[in-house]
Amino acid sequence: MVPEDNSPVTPGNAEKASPADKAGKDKRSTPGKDLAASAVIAAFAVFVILLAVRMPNPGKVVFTAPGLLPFITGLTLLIMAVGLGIRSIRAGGVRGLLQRPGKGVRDYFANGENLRALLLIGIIIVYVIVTEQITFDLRLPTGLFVFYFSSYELISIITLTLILRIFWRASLVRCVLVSALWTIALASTFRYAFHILLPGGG
Amino acid sequence: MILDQILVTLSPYMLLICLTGVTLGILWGAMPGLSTTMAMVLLIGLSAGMEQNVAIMFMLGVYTGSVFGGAISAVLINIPGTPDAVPTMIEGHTLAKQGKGGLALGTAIAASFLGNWVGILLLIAFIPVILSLALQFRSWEMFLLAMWGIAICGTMSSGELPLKGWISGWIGLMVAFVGLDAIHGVPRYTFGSLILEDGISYVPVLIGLFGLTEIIRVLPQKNPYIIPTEVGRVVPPLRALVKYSRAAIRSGLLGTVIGAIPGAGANVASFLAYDVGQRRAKPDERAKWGKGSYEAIVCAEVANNANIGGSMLPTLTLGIPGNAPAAAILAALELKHVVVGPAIQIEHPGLIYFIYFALIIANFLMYGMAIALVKPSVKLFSLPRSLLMPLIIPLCVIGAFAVNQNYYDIYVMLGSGLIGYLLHRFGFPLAPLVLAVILGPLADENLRRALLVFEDKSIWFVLSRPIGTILLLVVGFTFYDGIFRRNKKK
Repeated sequence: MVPEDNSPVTPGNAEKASPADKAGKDKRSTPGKDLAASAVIAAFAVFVILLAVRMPNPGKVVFTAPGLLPFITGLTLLIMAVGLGIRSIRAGGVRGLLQRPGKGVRDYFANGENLRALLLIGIIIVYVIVTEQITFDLRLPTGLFVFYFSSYELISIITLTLILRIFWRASLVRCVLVSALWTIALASTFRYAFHILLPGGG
Repeated sequence: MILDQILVTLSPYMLLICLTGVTLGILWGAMPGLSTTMAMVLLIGLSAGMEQNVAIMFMLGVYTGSVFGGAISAVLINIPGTPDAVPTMIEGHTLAKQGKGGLALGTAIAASFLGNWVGILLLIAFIPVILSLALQFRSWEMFLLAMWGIAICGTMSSGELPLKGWISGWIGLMVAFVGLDAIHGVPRYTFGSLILEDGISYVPVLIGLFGLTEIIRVLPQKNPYIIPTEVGRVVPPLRALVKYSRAAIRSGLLGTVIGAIPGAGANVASFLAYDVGQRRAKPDERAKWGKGSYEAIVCAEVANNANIGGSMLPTLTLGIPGNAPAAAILAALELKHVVVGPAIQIEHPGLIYFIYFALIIANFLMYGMAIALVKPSVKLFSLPRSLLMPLIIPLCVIGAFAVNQNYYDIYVMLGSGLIGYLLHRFGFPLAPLVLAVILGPLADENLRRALLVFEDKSIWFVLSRPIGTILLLVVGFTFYDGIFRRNKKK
């Protein structure tokens, strides 16, 4: 059936790909990647099983044990991970990994798109942490209503400007203007139209 | 009671709210990469401050609008706004290149309108049946149903390797177990953290997986798209619809049934209807498939819109979302303290009728707005994704924070987004994970209750429950089919 994928199909690849390609073929899976994923998932499943076994059972009846379903789920996850691992080994996953150890990682870092993704992830992580750590709000009475300007708006404007400057590559003035207008419009819609509290205390 | 609900939905304020939802939905769905699910989950925050009926009207408007919206960019610029619009793109853009873009879009609008009607009518016709059946569901049956939902979602969303879909679902189950256990209050996977004892809400997980993951995935890409200069006239071809009425009804039925299966979304519906449509088409029409067929557009658009009504069936009657956008509706209802499920008619009398009429009104408004918004949408597409995607980041943060007004949910959203990106890189689908986070607590509690009931009973007692036994077979078949389908294909 159809894999879940929200990937927009670009004009270039849309014409080359058949409907079946668009519908089902998963180009992200390789035996090597599947083998690595199965090892991580298997380790995670073992960890989950061990914690489930150690969970206390106040009811003393195994059927109501809090760790029952986590144990069953962990065990079946382990079986599935082993299944995925066996499938990838049969498809040449081990050979792929041994012949070119670390190639996948090197390829990842050699790709500009991936580096930009890492940069974006870094910016978003800093944005979320700073949003929590710095909180203030300014209230400016306008006569009709009290205009709020909180740390959330300030942090969002700075972050958006940075992201737009890197990815949109417009002039700094345009990036600042777009960020400021969008953030204030968004914050005002939530705050005044829907009376929802925003991060940063406003 | 029915008349009261009609009058409520027809009030000018409600119509305005629905129109706002439909408009936002169409615009959102029309934007490349912004899926229906993403629109729904991000707008939950907006609906949080609304009164119950207003919130439902708004969310259903968004749902109806965004499912159609995907067709606009698919036809005009060869980029599907939503995944279910890919078949429409294949046919519609070919027609657009032949100078028939307006007619292709008109066909898509009319087909969407028809598809919504099929879904709504089947919803109205079958809800009483499903409701009476739903009341027969006890703990054992609910557990099996939840597991089937996760299993089939994994199967249908993971292409040729269902194992990956199931693994994704099982990881979601693990996430659902975090927090205090519902029967004994024992902390599970909390590692001594008090905040983890509250568990992990599925709304920030949903926003992270479908919103943040999409941004991290799409924003760093460098693939510019073409902006069309001429759209042509946008006239809904009713005559053509009459010609394709059989295909439309068949696709509508398929779309509704698929929508009613937990986890199977509009993308599955549109592709399946597109595939079946090709097999059932007359030879001369079949020859046009892939080269610009109006019948193909009808099949895909009727199916993905009929999916809306279908997805509301299990959502309203069993409390199990038919697909990810329906899960967002469920979340919006939960914020309004509306618990849907078998007792919905008793606990919230009249609510189902309100939802019927809200869907009907949303459908009419979608039809009008779709025609009106086609040309302005083209202008909107002149904005590059490198500008659009960053603007969604603050929306993700607000959406996650708005649910419980705490920073913990923002971190959950961030973590989910990063895990979603990793899973995507390794070819794991994300929908089963979200569905499992939602259904995990239901499965856990009901399994333990059922096992207590079955404690001293024989296996024949368990098998003497017809619904449970049927579900057990269905779950078994789902795994069997998933495991052996690959070998059959080979």
